[in-house]
This record gives sequence, C-alpha cells and structure tokens, in this order.
Amino acid sequence: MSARKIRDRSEGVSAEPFLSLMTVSRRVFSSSKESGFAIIPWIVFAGFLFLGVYYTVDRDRSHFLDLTTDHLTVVTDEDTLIIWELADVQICVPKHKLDRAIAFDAAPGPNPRCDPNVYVEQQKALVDLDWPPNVALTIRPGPDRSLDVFIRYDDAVETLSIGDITVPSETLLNIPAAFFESFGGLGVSGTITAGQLAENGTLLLLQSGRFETREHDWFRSSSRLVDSGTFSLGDVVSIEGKKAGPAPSVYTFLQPVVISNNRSSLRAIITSEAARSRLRLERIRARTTYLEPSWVHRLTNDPIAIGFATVLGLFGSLLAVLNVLFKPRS
Amino acid sequence: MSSSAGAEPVLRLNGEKVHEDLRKDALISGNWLVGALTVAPRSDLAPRLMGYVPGGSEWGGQTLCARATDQSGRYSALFEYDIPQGWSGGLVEFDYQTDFSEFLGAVDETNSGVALHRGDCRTVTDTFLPVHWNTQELPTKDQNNRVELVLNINAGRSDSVVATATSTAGDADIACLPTQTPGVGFNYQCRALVPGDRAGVLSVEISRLRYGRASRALSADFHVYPAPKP
Repeated sequence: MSARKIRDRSEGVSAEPFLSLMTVSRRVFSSSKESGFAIIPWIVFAGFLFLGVYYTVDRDRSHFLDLTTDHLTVVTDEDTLIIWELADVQICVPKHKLDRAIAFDAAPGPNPRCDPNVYVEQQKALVDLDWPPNVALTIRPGPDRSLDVFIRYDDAVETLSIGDITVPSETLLNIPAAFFESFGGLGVSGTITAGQLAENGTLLLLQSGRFETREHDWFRSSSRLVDSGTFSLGDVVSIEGKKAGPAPSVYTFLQPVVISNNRSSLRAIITSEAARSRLRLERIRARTTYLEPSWVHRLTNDPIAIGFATVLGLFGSLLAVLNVLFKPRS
Repeated sequence: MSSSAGAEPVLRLNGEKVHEDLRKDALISGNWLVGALTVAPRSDLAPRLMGYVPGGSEWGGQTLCARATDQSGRYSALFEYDIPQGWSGGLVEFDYQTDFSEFLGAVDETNSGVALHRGDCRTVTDTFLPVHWNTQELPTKDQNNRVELVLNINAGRSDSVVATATSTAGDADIACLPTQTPGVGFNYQCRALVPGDRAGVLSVEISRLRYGRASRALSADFHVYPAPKP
C-alpha cells in the first residue's frame, strides 16, 4: 500500500503524517508479506504469556489484621523471646487439676474473681511470663477493663508454673487494667483465631475489623497491597498456611479498649510472616470462605498494570479514531 | 471370633425409628449428654448397636430410647426399643435400621455417639446404659480390670468441664477434655474408668466452668452391667 496524497474532510489540513503513522502501525502489527518475517506478533504473544505467569503464579504473602474482638485464641509457637512482665496478676487454678475436693452445690463466697468451690485463687505481684510453644491462650476482656487469659495445654507431658505457682491446663489468669497503663500492650506469637461463631446465645464475638494482604512481586522492590476488606460482627477469622507443615508465624499485639461506658473489648493488630498463606473466614450457617488474592486482585491493584492498560487503551482508541477519520476513499 | 463366644447377644431387639436425619448443616442439640459409650475394639460389622442391659423389674418391660448424634451436629436419630417382661439381663443387639449406613459405618466413638436412656423418646431421663457403638461385644479392659466409658458432652461455650464420678461397684475416675475440633453436636468428651467385672451404677456430676464461675451441676446415672466371663 502506498500513501496517496489525499485531503482531509475539513479543508486545508494535510492527513499525510497520520497516514504514514497508520501505515507503520499496520506493518508492525500485521504479518504482511512485504515485511517477510513478523517478529512483533510473537513478542506481543510472549509478553501476554509473561504477564499471565507474572500475575497468576502463587507467591508468598503477608496478612495484616486490625481487629476489635472480644475473643482471641492464640496457640503459641516456638518464638518464645516475648516476655510478659505482669504485675498484680490473679491466677485461678482449677481444683479438679489439683486433686482437691470440688463442692458444686456450695454457695460461692462474696464476689471473688473465681468461684472458690472449683478454683483456688492466687495472686502474684510481679511475674515474668515466657510462653512455651503449644499453649492455647484464650484472651478476652475481663471486668473493669482487665484482660482474661484462659490457658489450655497438654499438662500430661509437662506442667507450667508461674513463679512458684503451678499452673495446670484450664487455669484462668486475670491481668488488671492498671498493668496496661504502665506496660503498654501485650505481644504474643503463634497461630490465631479471632472471634466465635454467632450461635444463639454467644457472648464474646469479633466486633469489627479489617484486613490487608500484601504480596512481594518479582522484579519489584516493595510489597504491594493486593487485597483488603472488612469483617463484620460474629465473623471468625484465622490465618492458615496453604501447605501442610507448620502454620505461618503470626505476631499479635493487643490491648484492652473501652468501646462503651462500661464495656471493654480487645484491640489487636496481627501480622503474619510472608508465606503461602490465606485467611480463613467462617460465618454462621455459611460455608468456610478463604480470602486469598487471585490474578484479578493482583492485576487490578497494580498501578503499573493500570498505567500500561490506560496508555495502551488510549493508543488503541487513537488509532481507531484516526482510522475512521482518515480512511482513504477508494 | 472365639474370644467373644461368651458374649453372644442374648436378644435381638427390633427398634422403632422415631426420627433419623443427616443434614447439610448442623442442628444445635438441647441435651447436654449426647453419648455414653463403652470403649471396645472396633467391629467390621458397623453400623451396629449393642448394650448390656441389667435384668430385673428395673429394666424388664421398660422402653429404652437411643439418641444418636455425630460431632458436627449433622446427624440425629431417635430409636425406641422395648425390653421384654421378665428380662434376666445380658447382651442385647439393638437392631439399627438406618438410611445412612455408609455414613454410620465410618464413625467411631471420637466423632459420634449414642445415648441410650430409660424411658421413651419424648423425654430425656437421667438413667443411661452405656452402649457398644460399632464395636465388638467385649469391652477393652486395663490392667486393673476396669473398662472405659466415653461420655459425649455438649457444653456450649464453656472454658472447662469438671466432672465427679462415684460408682457403687468401686473406685471410678473421670476426666473431661474438649474435642479436637469444636463441634455443634458435642464439644467435650469425658472418659470414666469403672470396675469392669461387677455390676454397678456410676453416678456422674458435671459442671461447666465459664469466666471463673461454675454452672449448676448436672447429673446422670450409668448402669454398668459386666460381660459374662468367657
């Protein structure tokens, strides 16, 4: 095809530069016989293939949760370098673990923290707690902005102690509110489950929260936000590994917060290490949902992809418009 | 099996199916005790339900109700059985005509249970008979000749379940632990050790502990009738 000298429909403007641009673009994008060897379509094809792989292949990700919850379960992992320096902690040791007689029917005393018929109550002024692995801690708000920690572990193997007090499984700790004013929040490392299913008559639910999922892409320096969203009352959220083997290590930082006049809750920020992981979301009467970014999330949240798509789209539109405007009259 | 020759069922009772359902989602049960099972080696003939029923006027001529459930709360069934008048005691096979034999053939005492109690299925009494659920006729015994009973407890949102056990036949121990996965059907299992060579009544009291408080104690009696000596 040779460029003929034509005139635009509007008088006086030469269409020649645009026509030559179109000619070049046709040569580049079509495997015309004149060019002989068309490499460009293959480059475009390879580029698409690369983009497909770039956005679909699974990769490590880290999750961030910011939750207000009345119930948080942490099963501690090997990361035992976090020490809780607790002050004035109340320890309720269950009598049935101490071989003491239980009196179910006796009236409990005048409002103690724990029912003296089934618990032995102890107090500790200062204690350093360094949780060993595989202890399940159920953390929830206690009375007067305090924090309750319920401990469960396999005490057939080894028994924990806090100072000189033996702490069998099923012990309840109460950390007073004053402690948090001087110490700040508590950190703990291990797998987490936040909230409980909102069955009829359930106290202590997850109140609200949001999550962010970040991934680190190839050839990119920083990790990128690929997915985010919010949680509702009664959701049960946990972070789990996608592969068999140890679950990703998750760090939780928590402190009690007042959410209304006489009601407190827990505010927790939770971050997981980069791993093949996903968020597990359970809701009452619903099938378990896994929150895990797909290629769509990666693509639509990538500024470079959006930028390229915009530029390419504009270029394509421009070519189309020029094609219509300057179509040579046959 | 030759070892079970001394424990052939004396009686095979046809049951009346009151209700049986395997749902897609869980149904929350209102009963706190949803299973009372004797630990025994697993039988290939699952599903099957057996139990040692004591003799005498306390049991002869009575109606029994078997309430079956699984841990997830999806399966529920009610069967009624009539013990004949003048019953002298022994092993009974409770005919279990299920529509879900594939599902029930695969379950065991860790994930399902049957609570067999005296009286019909309209009310739950607190007099139970431990059953053999998908197991052989003779219970497993420890070195002290004691047999193990598994009680499935629906304890709701409790921190701990505390139990005390006393038996008219001798010393009894009990300990309760949550199940590995939290279930709607039941979420705690108590394991009791009772004398296995004498008939006796095991009285169990259970309290649910929550936020440092003990709930009102619940009690149940389990009539343990020994297998005959081979």
